Amino acid sequence: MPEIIDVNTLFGPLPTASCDLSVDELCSMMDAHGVQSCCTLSTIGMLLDYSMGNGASRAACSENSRLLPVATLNPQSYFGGDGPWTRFGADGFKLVRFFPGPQGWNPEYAAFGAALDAMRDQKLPIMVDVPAAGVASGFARLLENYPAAVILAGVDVDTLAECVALLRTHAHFVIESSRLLASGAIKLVADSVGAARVLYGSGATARPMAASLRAVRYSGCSDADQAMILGQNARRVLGLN
Amino acid sequence: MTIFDSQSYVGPTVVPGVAANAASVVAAMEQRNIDGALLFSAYARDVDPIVGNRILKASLDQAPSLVGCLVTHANRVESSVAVLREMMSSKRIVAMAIVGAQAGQAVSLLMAEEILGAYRRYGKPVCLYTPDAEAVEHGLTIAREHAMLKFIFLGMGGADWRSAVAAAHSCTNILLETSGAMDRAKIPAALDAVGTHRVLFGSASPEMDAAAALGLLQDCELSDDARRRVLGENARRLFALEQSA
Repeated sequence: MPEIIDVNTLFGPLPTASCDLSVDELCSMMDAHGVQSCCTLSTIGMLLDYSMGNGASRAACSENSRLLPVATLNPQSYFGGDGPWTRFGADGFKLVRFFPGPQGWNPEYAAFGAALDAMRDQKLPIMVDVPAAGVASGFARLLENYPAAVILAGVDVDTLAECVALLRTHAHFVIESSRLLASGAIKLVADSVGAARVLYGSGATARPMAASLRAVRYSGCSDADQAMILGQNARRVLGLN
Repeated sequence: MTIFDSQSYVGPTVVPGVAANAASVVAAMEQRNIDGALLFSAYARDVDPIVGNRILKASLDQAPSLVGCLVTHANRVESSVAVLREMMSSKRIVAMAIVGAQAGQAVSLLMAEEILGAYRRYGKPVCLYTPDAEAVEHGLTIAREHAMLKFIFLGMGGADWRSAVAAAHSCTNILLETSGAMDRAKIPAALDAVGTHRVLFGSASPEMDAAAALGLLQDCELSDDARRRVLGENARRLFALEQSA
């Protein structure tokens, strides 16, 4: 069985979800599906207050070594200065995640660029959600020279061609797979830009882990490519030992 | 356990070469251990009901494990009714779907009335696309007005699946098809509200790989009996699959 690292999970309260999104539920899903590690963050960081959310993420991950902490930062609350964003790496966060859709900003939002500049020296990978056509292209303009990997999350059939085009021109861009659920989509990306550019993600605990895992397993990719997608690529991108 | 996919398409998609013909649809089903499917023509849904449904008919002729759903257009009544007269009496055509002026647009009772009038005598189920709460509201009105027909809410309301569950709870001739939002809570909620006999597994493949759609059910805590009914038994009874063979 290949190692499985899920780069896209959330825990905590979420108004749009009706099921249990607790850390315990996440761990139970990991056990059920043989997932070794998950990158995770508290929904509080996405929905309300990133400082509070990042604290909750660190606390949850400190109690369970299989959980890898993800920091987040809402540019709408970024006013510069020497804040916690300058210490994300030192605080143990493996990646920094941005949510333009739920938070109502776009890649052209000036405070996002300023926040990126403030974090740049840490060379942490970042993950940006691309909820609609054109958003990924907007991020690409700003992140062209970002010194670490850029993970495009939530890519679906409406944004697939756009993101594959960006991966061809941006060597440090990769795609997260939680919404690559259309038949043939993962294989198309792997054939177009290489299986090394796809990271497994589920969107658990709100979304079912089995769906995204089965999408990889029935993708038509070789066993070697599936092993890369399910874990090896995340290990490389996140710099895990 | 028999698995029947109650929403599967043949025809062009964003991903080239997928579900291009009956053979590729059947091959994908067999890889995923799916025994049968209700096939729709993507061409009929998105472009033209006459040509598209003829493509469907030709596809069914090549694949005995498939049965078909004709797609009609509420704003193209004449050609839609012509399609019904031409094909609906076939045993392999077990349902009809109605789309609005544009794919994904809700169909109102007023828009659907003429086609439903022509369809009523066949007594087979009607599929309505319900991607959101507005479509569910219209679907509920239609289902109440045509109480002798059974209505399948394709996509069960999308992210507004609670509205579809409530509609099915209040109107017993509504069935829910499980594609749409990937929300782990929706299947248990639907089964609690309407029972195990009015929920049908469907994927909307290839837009959603049927293997992934099955993952939604895999991650739900269901009894063996509920799983058996949702995955195949309910569709077998609804579409009278033995008679269509």
